[in-house]
Amino acid sequence: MKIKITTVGVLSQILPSSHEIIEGYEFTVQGVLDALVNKYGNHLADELFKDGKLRKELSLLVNGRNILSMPNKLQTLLKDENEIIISAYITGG
Amino acid sequence: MLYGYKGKLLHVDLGHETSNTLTIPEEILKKYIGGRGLGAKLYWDLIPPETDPLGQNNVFMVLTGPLSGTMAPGAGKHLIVTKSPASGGWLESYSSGRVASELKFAGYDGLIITSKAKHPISVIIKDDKVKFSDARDLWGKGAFETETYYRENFEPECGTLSIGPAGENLLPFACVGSDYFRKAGRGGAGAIMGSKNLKNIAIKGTGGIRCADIGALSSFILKYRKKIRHRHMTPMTLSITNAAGMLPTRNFSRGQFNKGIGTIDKDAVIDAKIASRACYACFAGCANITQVKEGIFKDLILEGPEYETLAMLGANLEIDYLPAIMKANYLCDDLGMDTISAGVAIGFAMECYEQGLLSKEQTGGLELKFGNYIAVVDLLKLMAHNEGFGAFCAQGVKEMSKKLGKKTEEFAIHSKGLEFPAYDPRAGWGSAITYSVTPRGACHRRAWPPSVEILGGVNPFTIEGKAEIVRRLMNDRCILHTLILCDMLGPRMRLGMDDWAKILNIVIGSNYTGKDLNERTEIIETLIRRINVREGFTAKDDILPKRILEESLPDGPGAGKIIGEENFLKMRSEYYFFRGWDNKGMPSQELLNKYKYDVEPKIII
Repeated sequence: MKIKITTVGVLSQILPSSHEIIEGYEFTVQGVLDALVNKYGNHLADELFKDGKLRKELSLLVNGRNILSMPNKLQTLLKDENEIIISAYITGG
Repeated sequence: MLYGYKGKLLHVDLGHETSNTLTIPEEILKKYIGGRGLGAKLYWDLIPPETDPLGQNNVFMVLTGPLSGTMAPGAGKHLIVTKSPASGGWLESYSSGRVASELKFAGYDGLIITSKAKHPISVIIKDDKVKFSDARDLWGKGAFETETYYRENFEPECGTLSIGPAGENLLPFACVGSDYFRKAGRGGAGAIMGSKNLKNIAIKGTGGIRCADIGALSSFILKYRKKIRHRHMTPMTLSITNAAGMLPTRNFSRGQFNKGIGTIDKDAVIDAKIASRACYACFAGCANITQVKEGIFKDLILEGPEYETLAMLGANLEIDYLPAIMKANYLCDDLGMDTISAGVAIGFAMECYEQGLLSKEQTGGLELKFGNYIAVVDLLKLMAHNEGFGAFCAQGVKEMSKKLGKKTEEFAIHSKGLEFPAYDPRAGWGSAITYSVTPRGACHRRAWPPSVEILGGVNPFTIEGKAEIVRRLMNDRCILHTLILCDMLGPRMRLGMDDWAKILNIVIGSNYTGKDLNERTEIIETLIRRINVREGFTAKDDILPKRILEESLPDGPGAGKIIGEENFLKMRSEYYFFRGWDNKGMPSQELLNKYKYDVEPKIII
């Protein structure tokens, strides 16, 4: 399965572009983030997590829904072609 | 006198070409603080309810806040308060640039413009000197040329407020420009200047501002500037709202623009970017100067487009060609029109055209199909000049649907005559409350529920808790708009009422607490409600179009979900309750007595 990851206003110093594809057989959201860390190193983990939890200043959306408003949160099981957005705290326009 | 303030308002009578200063009682400054708060007090005292928005008795006010002109983060904004030609009630509209700082340096906390000039003029303010300059030669010119004229002939680094042809032609969504691309866009303040024959205001001050503790202010700024780590700002929102299914597309008939998002999103804007620009004394520098690199609009340079413009002149019209959006943005800024209302009006006309409710004969030959950006560029010019089919669209969607009939009001997307901004409430139900109860009409800056429903963990598709959330968000914005701090920068620094009290105390030498400021927001919001009640507004005006309440979106996380009138009315009643208003949205007499509106000094011209 392919999971599309888009970053908005974050991680630009670490990731080569704001669009990334992670491929595998089965993924939870946590699994995708772990795969990203494996690919780009522990300094990415520092940007994403603090004390084992997603940093408060980040928002993570799965197909447009915030992971915090989904029942299984980071353990949400993903499907092929699902999209994850990792965003800074933006303030509209 | 408190530090930070000047304690004076400059009153300019255009008809008599005279001016005088008014003293603001310290008691009033302490109660209303500045910006929106002071604007509410002045509106209540100076604009009687029978006033015609476009008549000579309407009052046009330009206000600052106690932090304006200082180094406080995001303090480079000013506020226009007047009676709205779009809604017929309270209008507040914010913009950036040098206006607020120059007005303070000239010695004033605000500017009050009354009556009507005999012919087009400009008001030129330098410290305590006020001049009236014949502007007949500039009438009909764009806002950019007008501003350049005063920069070249008065002061290069002055604060300016200019209108374009849209303001002269009294469009209900005409805006007031400052620093070229900065606009007090929403609600038609430009038409009020036009109705007064006022083409431009230019301001230069040579004084300073006394700050109670300049060392503490410097430390505050140094601490918080580190928190602002990225730029490009509002275009980043497009990817979020598209994914969340709240990006208005095809006149709010869809919530995602997947076909074109990749060519108009933040990455496309960054590709077109050639420089950053900051507001006065701001460390964020979040504005993008962009350039069209090829095609029929090649070499066009502008500031923007920002999120709302990308959404309303892009996705909402199914335009996926960024240079065309940039061209439309440039035209709106120069002609003096709000890009949000213009985009909604054109989107409405396009839907009517595609449904066969408008013919090509009626559009004057314009092929008004979604995606036809050439037609959009032509139509914007016609709208600003009130010509041909443009004159029809120039009325805004409320009047357009009234004239068309045929149930078009069901998809005329506005509240109180002000067109919706670019967050579809069906994909985050909190915005249904915000858009309905905001005093100036549908507005995303008085509260921004996507901050908790999309970027936070609150369920977007429930009514539970939304009224209280919206009230809290509105109070947070109210204090920013009263201090007049940027409501983009402020929330990103993650500061709350206690922090705003701290920075206010640092500048003016007061001892407010966060609780004190929160109480001020209730006093201010209730006074503005009282203003609109006096103007004849009731709960019947706090409504949303049928499309938003009764139709579901076909795409995104909100697909198939309907807000429903019953749910909406429940949220609205809860909001009234939390404000201490009755079921009809009327503030109780007990509340009015508690806030002592009727025993405080009046401001009299």
